[in-house]
Amino acid sequence: MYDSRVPYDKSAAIWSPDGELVQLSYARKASERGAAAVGMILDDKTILLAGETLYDPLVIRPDKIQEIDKNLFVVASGLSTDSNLLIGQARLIAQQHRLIYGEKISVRALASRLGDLMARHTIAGGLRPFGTALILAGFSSVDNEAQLFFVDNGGSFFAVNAYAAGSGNERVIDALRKQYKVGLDVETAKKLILEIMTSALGKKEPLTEKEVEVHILITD
Amino acid sequence: MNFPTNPMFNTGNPNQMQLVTGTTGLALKYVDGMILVADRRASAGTFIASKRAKKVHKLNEYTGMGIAGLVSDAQTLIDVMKSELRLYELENNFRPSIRVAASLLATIIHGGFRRYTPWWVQLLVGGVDRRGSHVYVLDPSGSLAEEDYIAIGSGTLLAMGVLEASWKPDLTKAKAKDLGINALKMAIGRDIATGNGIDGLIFSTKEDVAEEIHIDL
Repeated sequence: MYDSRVPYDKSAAIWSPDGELVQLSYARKASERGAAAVGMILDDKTILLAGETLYDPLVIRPDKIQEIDKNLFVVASGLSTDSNLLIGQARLIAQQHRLIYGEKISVRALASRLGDLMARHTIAGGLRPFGTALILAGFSSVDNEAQLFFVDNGGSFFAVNAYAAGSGNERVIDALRKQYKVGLDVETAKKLILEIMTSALGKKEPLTEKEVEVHILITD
Repeated sequence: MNFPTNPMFNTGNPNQMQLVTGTTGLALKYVDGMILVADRRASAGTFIASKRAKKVHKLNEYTGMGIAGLVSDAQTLIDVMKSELRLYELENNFRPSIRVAASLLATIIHGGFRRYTPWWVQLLVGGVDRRGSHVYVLDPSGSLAEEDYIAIGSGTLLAMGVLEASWKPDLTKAKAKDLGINALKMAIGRDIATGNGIDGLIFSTKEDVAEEIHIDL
């Protein structure tokens, strides 16, 4: 006879006795090993996105911040192949929405659809959770107001004023909690984000826009 | 394009696709809203199947739909659209625009058309949203057009004649209501498949609740 029980950390579809999905915790660890990503609403017309790109003179800098639709961007942190899969799905979902409803998808609806996809990977057997967390940024189709959403590896999502994913995320979020305020101008915000990331990631040299891709979204 | 085996389409002219309907419905914009009116007659050939058919429907508080053609198809689309708009509002956390409603309907109707199971309807979709008032018209092929004023059904040409002669962009609500009713009365007077009274809705950017029109003739 052999023991046919599956240990509870072997599948995302099995609960631990403490009510935890252990595979999901491992997935979060995976995304925390990815490069840092930050999003911040500056005012109701402006959003700042920042993503650390590992600088290597041999590699042409990849785009950390990706466009999903017009003025709708995502910065993903974690396993880049998982991120690419989700970004591809996000673009598809955005275009399907345009085809069916004749309008751009809202940031909330996109976060919710991606969240559903990611949650399904924590329920179905034979799948593993995504090793990626997402920060989605765009503008409301009702009043053009800035909207920022965080989508976690397990698919839970929520609206934020500022948030971080990837390496050092807890320290960046802590720093943002203390230092975030509404109405920062673009230059001040860029400086603040670079400072916060430098200290949170324990860098010896201050980070610059060479190592951190910064994107400013402005409503049209 | 014509549909030679389809009794709902007029096959007299092979270059023209014409859905045979017995109804007149029309929609027109005015300075701060839009009006949707239709008659109450449902016909089956020369028989009046109903004298109190409801052809103007509210999909939600600010979106209306006018129907012509096969009643069962139209009623199904109304039920589907009421549910879809409610779902859209819950999922997005904001109210779907008139464009969203019209575009979704066009998607559904074109899907049917391309799968050889067309929805036998002509539809008006109108209402008010954050961008102002809107009138859209759809046909069984799933085409979608935004208009200032438009009519559907068997009395289209009669009603359009009146609208064409008198519609202006700066109509007041009272003048637009008179124009809409007069255009429909022209169709009631001269089209055999249109009659038995008038129902309508007025959506205004100035009012939260749509005004209803009910006229017995």
